[in-house]
Amino acid sequence: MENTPVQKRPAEAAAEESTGVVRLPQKKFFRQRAHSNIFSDHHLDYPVSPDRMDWSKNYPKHFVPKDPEAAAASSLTQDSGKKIEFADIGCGYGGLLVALATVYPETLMLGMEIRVKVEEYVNQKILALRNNHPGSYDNVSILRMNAMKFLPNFFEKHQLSKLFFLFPDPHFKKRKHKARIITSTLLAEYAYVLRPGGIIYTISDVKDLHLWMVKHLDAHPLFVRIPDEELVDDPAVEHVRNATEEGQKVERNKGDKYLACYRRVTDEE
Amino acid sequence: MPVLPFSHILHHPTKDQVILAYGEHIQVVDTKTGVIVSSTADLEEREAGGLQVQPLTNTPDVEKQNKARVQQIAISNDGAFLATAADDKVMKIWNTESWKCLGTRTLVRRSNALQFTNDGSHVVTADKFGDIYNMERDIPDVVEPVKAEKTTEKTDGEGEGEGEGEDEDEGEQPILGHVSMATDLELTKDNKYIITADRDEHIRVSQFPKGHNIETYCLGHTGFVTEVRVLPGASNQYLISGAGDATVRVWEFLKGKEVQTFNVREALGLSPLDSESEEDELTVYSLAISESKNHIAVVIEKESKVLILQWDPATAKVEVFKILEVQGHALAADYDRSGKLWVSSVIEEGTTGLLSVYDEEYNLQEDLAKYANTFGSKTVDSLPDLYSTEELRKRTTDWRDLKKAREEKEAARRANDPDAAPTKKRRTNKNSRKIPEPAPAASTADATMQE
Ligand SMILES: C[S@@+](CC[C@H](N)C(=O)[O-])C[C@H]1O[C@@H](n2cnc3c(N)ncnc32)[C@H](O)[C@@H]1O
Repeated sequence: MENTPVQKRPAEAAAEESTGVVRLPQKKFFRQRAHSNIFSDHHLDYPVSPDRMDWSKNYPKHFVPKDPEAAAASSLTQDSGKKIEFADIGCGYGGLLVALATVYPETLMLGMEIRVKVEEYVNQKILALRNNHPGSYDNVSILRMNAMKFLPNFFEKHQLSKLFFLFPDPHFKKRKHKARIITSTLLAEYAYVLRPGGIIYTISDVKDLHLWMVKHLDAHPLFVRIPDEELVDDPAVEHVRNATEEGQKVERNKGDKYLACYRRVTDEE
Repeated sequence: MPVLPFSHILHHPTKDQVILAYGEHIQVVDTKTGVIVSSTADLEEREAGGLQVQPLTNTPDVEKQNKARVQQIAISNDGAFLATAADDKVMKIWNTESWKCLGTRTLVRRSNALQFTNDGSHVVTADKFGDIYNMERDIPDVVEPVKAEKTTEKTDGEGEGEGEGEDEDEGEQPILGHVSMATDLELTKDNKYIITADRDEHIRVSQFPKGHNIETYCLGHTGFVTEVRVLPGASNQYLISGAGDATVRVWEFLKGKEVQTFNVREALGLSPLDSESEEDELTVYSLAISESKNHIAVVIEKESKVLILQWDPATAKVEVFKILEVQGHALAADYDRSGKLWVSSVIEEGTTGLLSVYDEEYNLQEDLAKYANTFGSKTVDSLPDLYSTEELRKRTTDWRDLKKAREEKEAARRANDPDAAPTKKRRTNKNSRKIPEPAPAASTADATMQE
């Protein structure tokens, strides 16, 4: 994880120095092509298994570094005991995380994003928010990761209570469907990291993709659709619709948004 | 000129026979006499030294023979059926009495592992794209036309076998899948679970056949996993795995708990690596298990040493029992049902040592190997790379493009030098294995971007 901020213009830096307020990073400096090949061996850092993951870089207020030297330098003497419970898969520019951080201040949440530049942007944004709002945003973080391959390296069985798939890449061409982030075989892995009772949130402006996700989730024995009526009480839903950059773009373009949420049921015997 | 090595050795569970595969052929050897009793090939007469070709007891069906190399073989528990899968993606089912081919079927993708269910009614395959299928054994006796290679759209990241109009919701559906190449599979003795391994160091334990219920993962390997096998013992709760990280590991698999890490380099007495940070390329290529002796024969990629481990179910530990030294490089191994070990090797010249047979005390039994060494297999111009682990090593490319790249390189090499020996795959610079870190300046144009 790169925590080094990008070069700042002198005026900006001076302004920050005098006010102590860090300017939020600007997206235009972090643009990257829309797609990564999810079948490639990107340079990715992932732990061999969840118990070997050092989360202290992501959540310095919750985890003591695993390295003894770094641990001695840490302000924490012991872990807060919390585990990550929400994961935003393909979080893009991180709008959902930033919104949910204050809605669920006691819950650790993580965004996973495969594009380097986008991850850098979100990371800086979170660092700036933490700086500007002491005591807040210590519960959110982002990792550059291929979530289709390495979820079990980060999360234990049944660790998560919410998984978000918001406006995922549509991969329109039929022969590209295997690259879609919801497939019948990947759902088994999502069911593994989600606890019984946990929820998968999906939303898309592409009707075809929405129908695809619904078809596969409906067919999966470990997921049941949550009726729309039950969702009105869920505080996450309005942010699922509106908090992400993609969701706001669809809003501006007056596009449709198709929501489908599923509850993970208990394992079959 | 070299002779094709036996790429696979598989013991018959109820008869004194082993099945050998080489190139596109399969061959059956009587383990009491060493005589070849069945073969899909005409036996080649080389320097026989007075040895006589023995008449075959039956002539296998060679009508459906094609030139595709056999890549996987499996036999049903009762020994009645043999399944083979070749590099043209065609799977065949053989009757092991008559050696008639009972049916053929084109798989969606190349198979990396095959296994029959306990009742023999299904064959489970793990494929190159990570999908696991549970297929009925009694398959229609038809060979679908193998899809023509697409020439126009080869670099867009989606590799072989995916036709434009193909709907992945039609036809056979996988019972589970990895987003990575699946390298091996193993059904537990009671067939309640399936254990699958992949190129991204994962071992997954799922319910069988309802593979969408994942029980756990066995995580610990730091290189691609090559083989997973349930260990013998009353509890049936231990698994052994081999990988490209120079280790063999023992797991209590339903708990996802590693109970032993066994360092193969150390055990072989090989020199340790120069630096700590260096990743070990020593690869555990395959494992053979003797249930009667609780022995495990560990075949290591491009090594002449075969490691024999003693498994103790009471302490849940393996330890070195013996190290065998074979000619050439060991490629495949299996114990026959009386506990003799059959090992095949890649031999650059001649035929001695193509097959080595060891009795229960690991004494070499030359008489049992001589028929197969003399008449089995066939002479070829040059040896292909039979280990095929190159595409398992990590690079910053789409793993599905690697085979293509290798073939192109090989073709170019041959075009330049028709007498050339096959390229040596092992790199001398061990550091080259590391995935290059994208340079900070280059991060704007991430080298892995595709579209
Ligand atoms: C269309 S964007 C949506 C971003 C965000 N959820 C939003 O609503 O604004 C989809 C994102 O998923 C990311 N992505 C695609 N495949 C991924 C994978 N396998 N692992 C992690 N991120 C992935 C892409 O890089 C992209 O940023």
